[in-house]
Amino acid sequence: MRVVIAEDSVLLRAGLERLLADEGIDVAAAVGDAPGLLAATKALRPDVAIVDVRLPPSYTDEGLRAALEIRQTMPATAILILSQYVEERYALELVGGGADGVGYLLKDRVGDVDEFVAALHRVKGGGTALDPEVVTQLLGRRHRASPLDTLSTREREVLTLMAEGRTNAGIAAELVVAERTVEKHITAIFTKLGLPDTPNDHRRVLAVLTHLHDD
Amino acid sequence: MRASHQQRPARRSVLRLPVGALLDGRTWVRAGYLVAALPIGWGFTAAMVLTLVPWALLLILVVLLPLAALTMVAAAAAATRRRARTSAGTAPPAAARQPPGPLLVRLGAVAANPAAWLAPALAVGSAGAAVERALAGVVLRTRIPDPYESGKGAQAPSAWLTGASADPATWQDAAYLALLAPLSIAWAAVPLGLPVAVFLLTWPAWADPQEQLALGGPTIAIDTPPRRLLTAAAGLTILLLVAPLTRWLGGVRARLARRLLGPSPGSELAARLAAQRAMREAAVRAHDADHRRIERDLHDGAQARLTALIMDLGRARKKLASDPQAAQSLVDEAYQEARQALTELRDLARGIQPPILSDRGLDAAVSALSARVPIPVEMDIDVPTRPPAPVESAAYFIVAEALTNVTRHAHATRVRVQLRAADGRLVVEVSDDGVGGALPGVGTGLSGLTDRAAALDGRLTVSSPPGGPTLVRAELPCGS
Repeated sequence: MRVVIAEDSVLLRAGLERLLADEGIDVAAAVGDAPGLLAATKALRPDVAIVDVRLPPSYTDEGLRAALEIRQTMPATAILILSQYVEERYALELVGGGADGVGYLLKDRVGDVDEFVAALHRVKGGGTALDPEVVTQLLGRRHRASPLDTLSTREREVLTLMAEGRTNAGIAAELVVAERTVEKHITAIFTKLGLPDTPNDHRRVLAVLTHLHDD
Repeated sequence: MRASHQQRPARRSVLRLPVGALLDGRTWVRAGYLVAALPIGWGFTAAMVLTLVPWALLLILVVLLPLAALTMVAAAAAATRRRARTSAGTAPPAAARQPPGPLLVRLGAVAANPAAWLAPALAVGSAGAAVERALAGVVLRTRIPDPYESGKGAQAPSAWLTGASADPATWQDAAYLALLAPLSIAWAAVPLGLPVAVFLLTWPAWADPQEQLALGGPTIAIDTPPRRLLTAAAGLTILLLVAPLTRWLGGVRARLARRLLGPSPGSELAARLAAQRAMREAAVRAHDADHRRIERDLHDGAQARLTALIMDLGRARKKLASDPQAAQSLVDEAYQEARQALTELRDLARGIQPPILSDRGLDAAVSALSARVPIPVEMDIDVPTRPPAPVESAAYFIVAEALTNVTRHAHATRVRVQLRAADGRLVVEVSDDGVGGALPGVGTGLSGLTDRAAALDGRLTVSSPPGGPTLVRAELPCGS
């Protein structure tokens, strides 16, 4: 797998490069700002672009905007956003055009190396990797009565993992249940939320997110 | 006995007012002030009228004369057409179809614009009002601020022209002077009694006894001693009456001028409110800037360090079994990162509110600051009593930011920090011998300091010509 990194902190950029090298991932370029990211992505066509939200010169959401541009113009490159904060608004903007090949994680998730590398492979394969923090925000922000209230605790757990982008097998492993049970829960969730059930993982995530967004 | 005892002081008090007024210097100042109303009122009113004369002439030149000319040209053209009908093929005169020249058009535009031709008159009115304000200020022994809303800074003449007629205060000035002209006769009449009185009082002493003073019908003669005495007594009486009246009337005229020309109580209140609002806004801006800085420092410093630490520990954990030696060196790195993160957090906490400042005051805190500056710092601190905490804190951060700027940008070899408490103000000065060119206000730390000072009703000035030296100076009121 080939990646480019856009991260303005020299310390973190170097740390990330070493960590990815340890895992046998080819870091094609590591840059410090948004124009550098766009140029490197265009020239090197990496599998994944790992992008910090805050980049110079304005240090607001320039990384996010560059990532959205990459999604538009170079859809073959998957995006994994890393940030010190996660914001549901950013998450929704990011998956707005489709949740396939997008990830949005807190920077310190990188510390769980296997989990991080799994997320990288997931977005590279067209899947989704949303930080549990974002999902919590998305599921927790409702004030009005919502169909979500009708879900059982177990079903909410399954929905949360589903929204993070996990596969059925991944969810089953996390909750220590049979995959068959997970499938039953998912069917129940989709029925309660009034969504058409789809077999495709990332489309499922998108359906859930869109539903949460519109609610 | 009792009755006479009571009468004597009573009689003395009757005389005290006129005699006191006669000996009071203010009476004579006010006499001059009252008489001055005549030339000021009539002079400035006449000048205002005179400034309108050129415009009236211009109006005649560009409106009435062209109208007359057009009428004549039209008549001539009609005559030509009549002749053309008899002898065909003659072109009408070109002048009839030519539009007025561009100069004439421009003059016409000026003449037709009341704002333009009233402006000089209003300017004269303002000048007269300024004289009146100054004189009334002298009489009342106070300064009378002018009520103009627009700032008195340098403005383009055109902006001034339109600005002057837009500001109601200038109209008020002109109206006051127009009113002063007739009123000045009443103001000046009373103090003119003073020379008359002095004349009558002294005339019998130096004039030829055979002289007579004709006052239209009756005459005053001083040919006998009783008549001389009577004349002098009349002079004295007038003097004693007119002196207090003059003093009082002068005060009335000055207070009237202050009332009509000074800022109204409403506008003074509005100005105070605006100043309060500016202070509050500066405080909020300074507060916001502080929070943004702290967030940036945390994000770029401790947060990044701790993230790097987590990365190193994550890698170490993976290598623990396969490559213990690599894991060991990663843990060492992580240890260093953790210490570094702690140092950065400590510095940040100190930057928010240095404990030494709260515990020991400015002297100790500024000394601690200067110890971290890589060039020699000369300290001159004389603050005997501790200022209020917000002032102390503002002074500290002004010194801290100024020293940071010196270290980063000034290329200085020496820097001097001076803190002085005097007249209820704390004066902070940081000067260096560096390259200068520091600009407050372009999103720099200096603009934050300006807000910080303004929030306490103080002021911060930066003098930093290119080539240096730089002086940052703040005055902070330590008000009760």
